Amino acid sequence: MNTDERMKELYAKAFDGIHVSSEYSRKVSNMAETKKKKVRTTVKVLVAIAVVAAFLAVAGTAIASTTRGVYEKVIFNGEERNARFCDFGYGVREWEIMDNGNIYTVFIEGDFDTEKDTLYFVDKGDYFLASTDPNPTLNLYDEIDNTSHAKFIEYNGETWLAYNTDENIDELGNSYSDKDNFSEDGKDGVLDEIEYDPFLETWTLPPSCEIINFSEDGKDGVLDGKFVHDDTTCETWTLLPNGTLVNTIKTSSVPAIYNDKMEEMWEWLWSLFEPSVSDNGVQE
Amino acid sequence: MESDEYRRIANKYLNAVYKAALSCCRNNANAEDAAQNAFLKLMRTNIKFADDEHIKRWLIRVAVNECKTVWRSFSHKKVISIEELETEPSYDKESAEELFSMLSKLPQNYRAVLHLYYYEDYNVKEIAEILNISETNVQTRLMRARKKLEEILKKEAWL
Repeated sequence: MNTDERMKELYAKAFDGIHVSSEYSRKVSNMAETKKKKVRTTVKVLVAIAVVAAFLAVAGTAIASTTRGVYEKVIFNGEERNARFCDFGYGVREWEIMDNGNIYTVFIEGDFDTEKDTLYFVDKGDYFLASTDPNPTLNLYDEIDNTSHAKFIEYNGETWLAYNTDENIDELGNSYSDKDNFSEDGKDGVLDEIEYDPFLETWTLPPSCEIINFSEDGKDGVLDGKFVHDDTTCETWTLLPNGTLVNTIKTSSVPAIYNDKMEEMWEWLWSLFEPSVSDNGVQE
Repeated sequence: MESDEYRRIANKYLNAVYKAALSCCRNNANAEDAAQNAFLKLMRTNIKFADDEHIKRWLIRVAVNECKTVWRSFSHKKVISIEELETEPSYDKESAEELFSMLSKLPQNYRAVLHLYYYEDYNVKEIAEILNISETNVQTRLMRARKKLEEILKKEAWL
């Protein structure tokens, strides 16, 4: 039996025995009927047009229910769409707008009354943001850059600025792979081994002082354009024309964590050459 | 989509879409949500599908996207409970549960690709279309996933 056959057998053993419950199956099958019977109590919310800096402002009239998880009609980009308003009760709320099988996830900032307040839907690049503020910010992401690709992670007790190397999800919910250049070895465009998975996402660890070659295009392993180097942290990043720091490809490296243990390693290494002392104290 | 047609598709593909979502989400509650949302979108989409297989691929793609969306959302990261994480699907056999648990240890990038390749029998080109990634990327992930899985299985003394 070859590897593929063994893998198929393994997957069959793991998944053949898994079935959805009959209750869940009935629920999903009957959704079509539920849709017809649903009586909606909706409230019109006027959403004003806002043009914020270089961001696209999207506006419309939304008819929304504040009932969590219920899809309702909204006017988005001038067309009718289904949207689900999710209020999680601690200041973080989302508005999910569906479009041809894909979805816009709208993060909602601040408190507002859906019946009274004017909401601004602002394109933030990787996500839309709804806010009563015509120029909203979302600090969790914006403090790092204006994309959602970077975050601080804890790894081996240290804090690192890491970049998401999973496929991106565009504003329609599609994944796309503009991150093909992410790689430690600069060869195949796919993240190699150093990974961290805090929330089922993969992140690259930042480069260390040992990393000497960078490239934005993943071809030659040499830095092509601008770069940023922090002497304090020994971190080096490529800087894209739009100002974001992304795509650090190393072509020659020692893992960053290795640096922290260099001292220890040297001590151990030198100890190998030191004359040993026997149990009775005589140098051999 | 008409109700009767929708029900036929739901009966035909719900299990497959759910399993693909489970492979990606790793827990029952999120997989059920992802599959349900995929079917909800199917019900409301105006896309003209070529055939049932086209619908199935579309559903899997939407479900996988749903899983990613759930895990990417701030709110989910903040509110997910241990109980929710521990919600398990129902297994016919105990060994299946252990195997599923083993496969769940693979990174997210690899799980969906492996599932589609080895369980749904899609080829590299088809998987690339479903997941909207390059064929090279699929091949690379397959190769690395196999290697990673082998490591996990050896570590857990399955091999």
